[in-house]
Amino acid sequence: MNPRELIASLFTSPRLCIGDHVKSLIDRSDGTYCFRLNRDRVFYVSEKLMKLAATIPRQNLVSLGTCFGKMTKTKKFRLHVTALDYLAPYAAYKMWVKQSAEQNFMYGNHVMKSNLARVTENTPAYQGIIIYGSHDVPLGFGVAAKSASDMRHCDPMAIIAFHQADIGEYIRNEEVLT
Amino acid sequence: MGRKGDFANRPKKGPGRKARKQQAPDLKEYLENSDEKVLSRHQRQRAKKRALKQENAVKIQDSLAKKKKMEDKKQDPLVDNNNTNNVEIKKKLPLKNEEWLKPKKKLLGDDGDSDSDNDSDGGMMDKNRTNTEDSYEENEASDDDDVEKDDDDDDDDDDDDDDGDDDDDSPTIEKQSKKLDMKHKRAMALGQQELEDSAAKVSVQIPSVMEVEKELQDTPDMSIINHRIKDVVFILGDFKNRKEEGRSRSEYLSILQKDLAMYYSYNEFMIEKLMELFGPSELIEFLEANEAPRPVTIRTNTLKTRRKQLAQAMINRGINLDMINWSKVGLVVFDTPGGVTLGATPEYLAGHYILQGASSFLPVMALGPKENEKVLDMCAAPGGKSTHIAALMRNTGMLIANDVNPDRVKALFGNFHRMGITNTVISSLDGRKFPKMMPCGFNRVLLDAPCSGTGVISKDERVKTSKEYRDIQQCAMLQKELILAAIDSVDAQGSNGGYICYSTCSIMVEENEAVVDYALKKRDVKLIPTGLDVGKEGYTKFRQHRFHPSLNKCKRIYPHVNNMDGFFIAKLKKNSNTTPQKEEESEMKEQVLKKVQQKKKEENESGIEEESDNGNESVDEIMENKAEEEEDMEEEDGDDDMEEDDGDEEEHDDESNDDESETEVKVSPPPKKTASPKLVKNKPNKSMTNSSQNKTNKVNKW
Repeated sequence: MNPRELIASLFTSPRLCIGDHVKSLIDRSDGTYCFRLNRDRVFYVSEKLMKLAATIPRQNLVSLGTCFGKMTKTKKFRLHVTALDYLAPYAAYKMWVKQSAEQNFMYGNHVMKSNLARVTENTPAYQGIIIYGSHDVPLGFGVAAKSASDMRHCDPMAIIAFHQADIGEYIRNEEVLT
Repeated sequence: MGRKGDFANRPKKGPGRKARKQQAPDLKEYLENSDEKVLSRHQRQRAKKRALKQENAVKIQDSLAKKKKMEDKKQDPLVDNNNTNNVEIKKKLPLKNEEWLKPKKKLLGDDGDSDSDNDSDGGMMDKNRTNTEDSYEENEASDDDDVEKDDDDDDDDDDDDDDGDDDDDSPTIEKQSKKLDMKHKRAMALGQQELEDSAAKVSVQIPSVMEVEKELQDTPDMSIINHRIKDVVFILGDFKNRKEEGRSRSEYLSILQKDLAMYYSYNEFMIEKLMELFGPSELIEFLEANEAPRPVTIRTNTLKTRRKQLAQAMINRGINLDMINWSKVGLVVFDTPGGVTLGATPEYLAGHYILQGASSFLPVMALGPKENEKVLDMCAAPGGKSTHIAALMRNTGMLIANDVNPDRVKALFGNFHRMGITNTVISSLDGRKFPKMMPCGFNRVLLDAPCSGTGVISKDERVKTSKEYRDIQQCAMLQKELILAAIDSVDAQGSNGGYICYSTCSIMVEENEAVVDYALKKRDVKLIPTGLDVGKEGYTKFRQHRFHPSLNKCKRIYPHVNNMDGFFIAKLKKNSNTTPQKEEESEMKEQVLKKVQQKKKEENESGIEEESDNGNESVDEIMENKAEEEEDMEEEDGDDDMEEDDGDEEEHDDESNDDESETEVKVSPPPKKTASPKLVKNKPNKSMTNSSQNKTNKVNKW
C-alpha cells in the first residue's frame, strides 16, 4: 500500500468526525505523536514509544499506543471503537441517549428517535457524531441519519443515527479488534 | 422586771383585723393523748408483724449459736438442751419424730426461749399472742370486724408459722443446699472425667491400608470416608496417646492420603505434595477452602474514574459491594442482581474497572512502578496486572506488555484499549528473548510466571487431577529461565530502578522459593522486603532444601488463611549488571589455554609456520571460532521449540578478562549440564558490544 494514499484516506475520511483536529493530535504538549501502520492497523503512538517498539520484530508486535482503526483491503480507513477516547474530546457534534436505551445501542443496534435524550444543535445530516450515555460516558460513534431539526419532527420508530462502533464490541468482537 | 414575757406571740386583742385572725392550733392536747393511740386495722396488723419480726430476729441469733452446740453434741431428741433450768422433762413419745412432728405454735417458740418448757413453749407463745390479740380486740370499737380480724389473725398465724419455719430451718436449709451444690459439682466433675476417660479408651476403629484401598476402589461411601478422615486427624493430633496398638504413623498418613484423594478428588501426587506443606488439620482447611470460590473483586481504573464514584455507580445498578481496606483501588463484590453481569456493565465497557483477583493486586503493589519509568511485564495476559502498572504510571513512561500465547494477547489488546492506556506496546514474544533484544533496558520487570496453578484450585478444578511430578519440574525449569531473563533485562544502574518482582499463583516450594534461590545463586541480585502486610514468610528451609536466609522476605498467600487465591511474591533488587563467572567457564578457558600452549609447543618443536599462525591465535579467537561453528549448528535446529529446551539459559557474558588484554572479548557461555547432550548453546552475544558494564568478574557473594 502506498503510504501517501493511506494517510490521505485517513485524514480525509468523511467518517472521521474530528476533521481538522488531526493536527492537534499530532503536535501535543508532551511530545510528538504519530500514526504508524503495522499489519493493516493504524496506531497512534508517541515517538518515544515508537522507538522502543522498533526493537520488536514486526510479526510479534501486536499494538503500540492506541489502535485507531484498520486499513481495509480496498485501502479505506475504518475507525474502530478503540479510538473513542481520542475522538470524544474533539467531537463537535454529540448525541445523548436515554439510560434505558444504552444497552440497546451497545448491542449494536441503530439509535431510534424514541431513545434520543439530547443532541447538539445544528447537526447536519450524515455527520459523524459521538454517542454518549448517562453521566457523559461515551458509548460509541456513528453517523447522524437526519439533521437535528428533522429529528424533532420524525416519528419515534425512525432511525436517527447509524451505529458504527460501540463499547459493547469489546465483548462481542474481541477477536476482530486485534 | 420579772420573768421574760412572751411578747412576740401575744394574742392580739381588740376590734381590729389582727384580733379576728385565727390563732395557731394548740397541739399540746394531741401530744398528751399520744399514749392512747387509736390505730386502724391496717396499722394494727403491721404493728403485729413488726413485733413478731423483731422477736424472731433475736431468736434466730440465739438459735444459730445453739444449733452449733446441738450439732456438736449430737443431740438426743429426747434431751432438751435448752432446758437450762432443769425443769422436769415430760416423757416423749417413743416414735422419735420430735424433729418433724412439732405442734404448730411450737415452731414459733423454737429453742430460743430458754425460760419456757418445751411443752409450754408454744403455749406460752400462744398466750402471749392471745394477749396481744385481746388487747387489740379491746381497742377495737366495732364488732363487725371481729370475724375478719380472726381470719386475718389466722392468716397472720399461718404466715408467721411459715416465716418461723423458714427462720428456724434456714441455717439447716442453707447448709443443706450448700452441701447439695457441692455434691452436684463433684458429680459433674466425675461425670466429665468419666466421659473423657471413656473417650480416650474408645478405640477408633480404623481399617488397615489394604482394606481402605479396597474399599475406595469398590464402593466409596463419602460419609464413611469423611468420618474416617476426621478420626485419623484426631488420632494424629495426639498420636502417642491415641494410636491403635501396633500401627505406625506412616500407616495412618497413607490412609489419610487415600481418603483425602478420594473425598476431594485429587490425585495422589497432589495430596502427597500438599501433605508435605501442611499438617493434617491445616490440610483439611486448605482443601475445604479450595472447594469454595473466593470473593469476587474488581479494581478501579484510576485513569478514568475514582473508587468512590465507581462504587456509587455500581450501587445505583444494584450491585452490592464494599471497599478493600489494604488497597486504594480494590472493591469486593458481594452480590449482583439477576440481570446484571459484572463483565458487561456500561462501566466495565467504558473501562472504569476490571475483574481481578485480590491477590493479583499484590505483585504490582510490591513492584511499585513510578511515573516515567520503563517497565516490562513478561507474562502479561489477560492484562489485569499490566493495566494496574499502567494506571500507577498514569500513562507516562513506557510499558511493554508481553505474552507468548497469541490468543491470550488478544485479551491483552482488548483490555488495554478499553481501559484507555496509551503508553504501552503489546508484543507476543517468548519472554526469554528479551535480554537479547533489549538488554538492561528496563527499570522494573514484573514476572508473573506460568505455573502449576496449585493456588487457584478453587478457580480451576482440573489442577487437582492433572498435575504430576513432571509438570512441576517443567514449570520450575521454565520459571528459572524466565527469571534469569527478567534479571538480565533490568538495568541496575539508574536512580530508581533495578527491581524485579517475581510472582506465581502456586504454593509449591519447587516453583517459588527454589526458583528465587536459583536466581540468587546465578545473578548479582538480592531479595528485599516486598512491602506487603499480608501473607506468611517464605521458607528458608523446607524438608531437604536449604535456601538462602533472605528468602524469608518473600510472601506466601494461602486461600484458607487470607481468603485470597494462593500466591507467592518475591521482590529482587539487581546490584550490578554483571553476571558471575562460573567455574565451568574458567575451566573451559583453562582447557583452551592448554590447547593453545600445546600448539605453541608443537609449533616450537616443528617450526612450521602454519602452526605458528595457529598458535598465534589468541584464546579468544579460538573461542569465537568454536562459537561460530556451534551457532551454525544451532541455527539449523531452529529456535522455535522453546518449551522443550532443557533449561538452556542465555547468559550474557559481556566480557571476561582475567588476561591483560584490553579488548572486549566475547566469551561464550559454558556448556550446561543438561539432560540432552545434543546441543550446547554457546552463542556469543554480538549485540553486547555497547555494554557499559564493569569489567570486573564478580562472584555472587551472599
